[in-house]
Amino acid sequence: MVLRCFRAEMRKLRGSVVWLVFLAVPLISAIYGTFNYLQNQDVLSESWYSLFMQHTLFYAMFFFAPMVGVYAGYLWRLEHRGGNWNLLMTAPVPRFSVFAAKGLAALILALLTQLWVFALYVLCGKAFARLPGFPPAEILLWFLRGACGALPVIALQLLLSMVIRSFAAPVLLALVGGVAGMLLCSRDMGLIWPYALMLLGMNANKSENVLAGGLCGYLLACAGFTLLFGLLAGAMLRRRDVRA
Amino acid sequence: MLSAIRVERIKARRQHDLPLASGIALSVLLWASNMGMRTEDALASGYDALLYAIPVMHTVVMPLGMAALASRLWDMETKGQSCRLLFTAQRRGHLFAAKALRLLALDAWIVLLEGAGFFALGTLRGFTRLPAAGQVAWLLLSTFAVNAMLLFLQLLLAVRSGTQLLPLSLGMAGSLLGVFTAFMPPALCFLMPWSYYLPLSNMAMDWDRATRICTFVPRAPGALPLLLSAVLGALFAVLACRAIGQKEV
Repeated sequence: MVLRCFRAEMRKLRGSVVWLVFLAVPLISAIYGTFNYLQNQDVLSESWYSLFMQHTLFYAMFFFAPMVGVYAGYLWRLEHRGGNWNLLMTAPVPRFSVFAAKGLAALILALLTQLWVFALYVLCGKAFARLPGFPPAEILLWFLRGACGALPVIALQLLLSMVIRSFAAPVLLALVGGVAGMLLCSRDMGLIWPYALMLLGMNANKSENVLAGGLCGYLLACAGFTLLFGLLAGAMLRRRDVRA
Repeated sequence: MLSAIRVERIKARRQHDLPLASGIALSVLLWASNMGMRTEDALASGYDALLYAIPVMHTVVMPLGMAALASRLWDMETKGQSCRLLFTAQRRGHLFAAKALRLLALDAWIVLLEGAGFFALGTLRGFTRLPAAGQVAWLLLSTFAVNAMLLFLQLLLAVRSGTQLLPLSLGMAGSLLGVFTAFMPPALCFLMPWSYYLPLSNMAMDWDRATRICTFVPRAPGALPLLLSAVLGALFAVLACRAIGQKEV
């Protein structure tokens, strides 16, 4: 059932403006990162690591969560229009399947975003910064960790977009969450805030591994928050009714 | 006209725009509160540091914030499919004026909240030297002007596109581009309306690479960036008004 709902969600994304956000935001981030790296090579001396930091700092800190907010908002937007909510409530599918399918669609978008960021990073590193060899495997691991950190953000943004009928408000909340996440990360309290997990996982603001020895706790926090928001969404969907 | 404003107020009742606008201002203040200032020298130049940092923070937060506020204001008409009714029941110019007033009121609220928070932050952190009143007034005035310009730009996009996705996406891209221009030659900032907070900043930072000490130096941004913001804001407002006037229902 989830798979069938997932196919319907993916159909919504065809030809959508969401792809514009998907393409443009990482591209701007990459242009900015490469430019800044090339201008400050005397200070940024750690080759692929320095370029990685420049490429992903603002993306992970401020723009990833709003991007996921846009993805989640877009996936819920149709359900909030006209009589679609009532259709959803009376559809012969378990309500949580719809949420799970939207989660899967948003996850695929987030993973593709991560891949796009990685591709731009390698391309800029080779073509413009002319860095030797290829990025260290550790950086690939950071991207994967970032993808894990994306899970709670996806679950929370889907929950917010489900509850709040406005498209823009959850996106704005994601930005505020990102700012708060940055502050918590600077005080070593990132694990208690879902919006900070992506930044922690990506290691975007440090050249040394911030999760050294703490990967288990990080993965637990990711899984815990994702489960919590998923369960909350399930409970809310069970209690919701048609809007007469 | 008065009835158009009254109707907008009624529509605003469950929109929760005021908490959202407050959230925008508070996120800037929250960010500003994280600036580490402990030494006596740092506490003495605390307000200067805020005057320097807040426009940079605005460049990240405000474009997306303004996009959210403006697009929500028009989205209620799109979602409620109320354009047909509104356009026959009231003059389109009045509809635009009522919406513009509401946006400007939200902008004023954000600026006032930031102004109050600016001094509250300084008092809480124990900053020892008060800033010149003119410098704070300039920060608030320039923030209001650039916010207003962005609000009208985003309203124009929301009316033209009929969806919130495009204005929000552009707002997000604008935030990133704004950060980008912070590290480019100042003249380039004028090409990006989202980054006008930076040329309007009245404080510059001088970082000594050898000693790793940064000092803040007042600078006179001049009236040109403010004038340009006002002209662009007026242009976007006229275009948004025309877009509402020409909208097919």
